[in-house]
Amino acid sequence: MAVSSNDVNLPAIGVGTQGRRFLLPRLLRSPAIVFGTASVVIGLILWEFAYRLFHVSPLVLAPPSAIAAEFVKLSQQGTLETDIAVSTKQFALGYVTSSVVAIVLGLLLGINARFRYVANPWVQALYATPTVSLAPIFIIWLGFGLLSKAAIVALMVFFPVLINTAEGVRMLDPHYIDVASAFGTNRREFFWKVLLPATQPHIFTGLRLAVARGIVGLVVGDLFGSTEGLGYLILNASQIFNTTILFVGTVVLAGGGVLLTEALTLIERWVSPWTRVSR
Amino acid sequence: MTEDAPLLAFASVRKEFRLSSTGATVLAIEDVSFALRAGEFVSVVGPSGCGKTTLLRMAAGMVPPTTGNLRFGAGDQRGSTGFVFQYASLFPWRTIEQNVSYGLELAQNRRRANLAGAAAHTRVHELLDLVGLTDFAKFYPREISGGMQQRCNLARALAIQPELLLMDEPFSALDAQTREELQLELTRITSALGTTVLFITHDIREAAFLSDRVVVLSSRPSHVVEVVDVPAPRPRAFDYQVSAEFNGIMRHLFELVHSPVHSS
Repeated sequence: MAVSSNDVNLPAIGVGTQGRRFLLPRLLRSPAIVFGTASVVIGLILWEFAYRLFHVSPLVLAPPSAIAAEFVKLSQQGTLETDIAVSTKQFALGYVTSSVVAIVLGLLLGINARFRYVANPWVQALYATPTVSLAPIFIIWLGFGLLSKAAIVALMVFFPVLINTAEGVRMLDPHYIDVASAFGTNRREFFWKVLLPATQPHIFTGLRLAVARGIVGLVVGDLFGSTEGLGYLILNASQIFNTTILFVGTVVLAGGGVLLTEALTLIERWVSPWTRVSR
Repeated sequence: MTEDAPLLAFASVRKEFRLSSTGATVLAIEDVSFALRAGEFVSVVGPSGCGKTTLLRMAAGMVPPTTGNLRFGAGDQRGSTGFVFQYASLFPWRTIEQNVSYGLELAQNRRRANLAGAAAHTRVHELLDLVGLTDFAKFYPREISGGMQQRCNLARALAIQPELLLMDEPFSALDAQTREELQLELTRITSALGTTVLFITHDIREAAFLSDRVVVLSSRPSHVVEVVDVPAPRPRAFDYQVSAEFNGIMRHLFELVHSPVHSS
């Protein structure tokens, strides 16, 4: 029997023969990258021009050029590297530990209704708690160093990952359960071969949302007491009214967040290549 | 198995459902008895809500009857069943070939596999060839059409070499042309493999064209109105559907399904 190629909905990306005419790899020519880059460049230019045109006080706003210059200066002094390293370590410890625990508990919450009933009041209460108000307590418990900052990051990261994972389990398509039962799938096989892959996109959504929250946690922790780290850099800059350094710290944090989120997207494409098919 | 022992027999099967909303009990199937012999293709038709799909789920062991029983072969030991669903419920995270091998993987996990890895791979590719999906083995379900997804669904059910193939309105969600194409494929494939099939449909033309026998159910609470024989040998060519014999059977089935007398 002949199957015509019309039957196939080929994904839009990766089709076409004009690929060799360009030197840039395909990824860099994607509309998302081209327009995204243009948007950032134009935004920075407008910012710079606005600053010069309206003679803004350097106390109020720093132009991109000054931020870049300050970035280079701080890098050469070596203090920025130290702050980045300290913050990265705090973030990594808090984010990874919390994510692992949240994924495991989220799966349990989704699977076991009784566990969900027991845990729900706590989850909802803690999720609604402004984490900022808990930060001082972590510092009292764990000191000014790595552990207290990682704990604050962990608290911030925990809920988006937990809630998205549990939601993913509960949103499992009942057709998959039918198929699994028709093939005599046992509970262990169901978990590894059906539930986990089906939930994966939701877990990654949680992990991506958690990046931004974790970074907020990082800065909050530093604001309540620290001697090093990017939050400390920002706090210190604001106390000496150095807006430019404040922006350097902020831009580095934002850049780190973007990089991590993108990295997670790449990891997701690698772990579950099927999710990119539908776009 | 003796010559006469049916592969599967429904014996006075009755099924009640309790509605979770009101707690009321609904009698879906009042009394259904019929049997499938090995190699036979049997369809069940009837008005919606008469419990056709429930019969299929009983045969798969997914739900028990309220009273009555199902007998498999000579004893009560359930044979292996393959299930083809109405919607191509393929796993989107598996490629077409991985979807087809799902049942074989489970068997291998339990070490009751009669197939080593390489043999399983061969089996999967034979089936992909049989349903015409060889070129799409590495595609994901979302990348292929609904008709191709149903072919994969069929191949997945056949991969475990089931004693009995259960099909739940597998072509109802497809466009007319694809449906006719797949009906021809199905009659060819099941005849070639000698598969025993229990097929649920609301399309009497489909039932008459594919089956050796068509079981007509009444509306809820259902019982068997009549079992209609379709004597022409299988596989049947497309033009059997315009023969006088076929039209006579169609007319009879139509009258059975639509006659109000049978709603007991």
